[in-house]
Amino acid sequence: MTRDFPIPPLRDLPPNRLAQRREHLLLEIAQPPSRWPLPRRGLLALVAAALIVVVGTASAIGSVRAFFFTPGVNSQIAYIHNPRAQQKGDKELWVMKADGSEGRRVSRIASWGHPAWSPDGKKIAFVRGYRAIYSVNADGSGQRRLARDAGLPAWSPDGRKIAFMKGFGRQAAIYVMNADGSGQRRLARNALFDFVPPAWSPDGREIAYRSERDGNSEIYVMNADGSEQRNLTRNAAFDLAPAWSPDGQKIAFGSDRDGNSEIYVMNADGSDQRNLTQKLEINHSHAWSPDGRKIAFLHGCCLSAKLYVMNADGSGQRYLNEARPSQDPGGLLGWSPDGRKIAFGGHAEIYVINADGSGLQRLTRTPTANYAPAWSPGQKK
Amino acid sequence: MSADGLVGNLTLAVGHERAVELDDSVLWSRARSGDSEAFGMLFERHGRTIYNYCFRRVGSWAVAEDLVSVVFLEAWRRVDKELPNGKELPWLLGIATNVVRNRRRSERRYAAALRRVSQPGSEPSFADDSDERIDDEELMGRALALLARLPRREQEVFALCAWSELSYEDAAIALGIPVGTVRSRLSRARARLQELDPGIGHEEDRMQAIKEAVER
Repeated sequence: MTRDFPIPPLRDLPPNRLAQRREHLLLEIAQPPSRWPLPRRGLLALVAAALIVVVGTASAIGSVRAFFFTPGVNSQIAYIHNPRAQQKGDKELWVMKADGSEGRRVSRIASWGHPAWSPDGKKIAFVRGYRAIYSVNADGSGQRRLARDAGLPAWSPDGRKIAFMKGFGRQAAIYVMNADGSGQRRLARNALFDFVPPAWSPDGREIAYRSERDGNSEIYVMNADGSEQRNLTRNAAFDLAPAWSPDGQKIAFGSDRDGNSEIYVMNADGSDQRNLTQKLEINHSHAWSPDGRKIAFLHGCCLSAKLYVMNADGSGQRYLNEARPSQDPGGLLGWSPDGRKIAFGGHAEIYVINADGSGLQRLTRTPTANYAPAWSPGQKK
Repeated sequence: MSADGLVGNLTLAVGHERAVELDDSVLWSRARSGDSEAFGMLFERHGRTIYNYCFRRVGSWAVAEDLVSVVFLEAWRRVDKELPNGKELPWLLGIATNVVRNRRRSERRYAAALRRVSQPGSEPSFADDSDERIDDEELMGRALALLARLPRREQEVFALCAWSELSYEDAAIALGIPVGTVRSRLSRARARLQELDPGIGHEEDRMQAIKEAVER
């Protein structure tokens, strides 16, 4: 039977390991049944949930105070927590301090996808299923539904509007609304569902997104009112996930035009398209550092994903750590506002690492999954 | 070779000699009556298949090694089960499928047991082929990325039939579903993969073409 696509050959467990595993197996099964683990997931989950609630509530009081009254930098990370072992059901939106302390639940009805901080750091937009966009204050108050049948919210740089996706497949379109959900308006038809939200240019005048209206997936840019839509990539390959550099001069994007998934960069008018990651195969989830000098990205997929950083011209690629964003669908990396750290999902927990690869820290520690870290915007000093 | 490796090889050789004499169903029925040595022989015989199957589902050799232990511990937990003659391996692959599907839960359930086997100093040391194994993980990561875009049920059928070369009947036993369902899921999986990447399914043609070009 054909293998359909290339996979590695069969390998043996090294003989000493095989023997060791066998010995271990025989030792374990020789234990009396009372030492055997029983399926007691329900009880464990209950205890864990109770602990989380207690700890969460106690720390919420402190952190709300800290949030409003501590001067200086209130750097926080929002993330999605799955309260269950299985993947079905609502997830929760949590916020913690950037050192992992004072975690608190701010919503019980979140879902896949990155939480999106408003530029002033006061609100978080998030998605429930691909059914609705909600916003909530960072302290958990004032939750409201902004749009139905919608996903992938992106705040405009001035925080007054939210661009988002509505509908599936060829019906998918990019919409914009006011931050309170009013004034919803379609900007572009034939957009395609992407792993990342539509991307506002830093000056808020343009929006980049992906569309298949010319037959295959391309990067488009339009004015923020939907006028002057233009195809920047014009390529037979699959282009996706546009991300503006902080100075608005360049757009990084993913493309498989050389046969595998790579990170490209182009000028904001579509000129000078260059592959930044030629040396490594399969790269994605690019994220500009706040000063625009570096790009963090993931190399490899799924369980073998690794976190890398490179200079914005593709030079100086540097391996930082395993990432393994097992349940995280994409757009996974968050730079701290000061550009010194990167938050990422790994082994279903949230980690932070210095951009030079030092100081790896695990921020979450729960029996079930945590993913999609999003760093709150910097506080102006 | 280290002393450990030598001892391991001897154990393996002796175990192998004994294991070839008895077929799976005899070993299984002995295991059911509490003979842990018989169960150990099943491990020696099928550990490799389960190891490679787990690798092809999770893309990491280290994780696959732990999962092999989990699969057999889970099999022992269900050792009362009466199996159709000669279907022990498909049944084990079925357990492996469940273990992979509920990986976090399985690993949690057997966390204590896994800690006992993964003492410090027993880190996997693949010595000779560690580079190849890293390449394996890269390649597997790519294949899994593509497969991940299929519904889970189709992924499982595809991994069993296409990657582990199980017959439709055996895959049906592994998954506890009718043979017809295996067929239809497999063909849907192939169609979807074809849609996602039209090059799929022609890899062997491509490789053949490259080979011929080189030989010419």
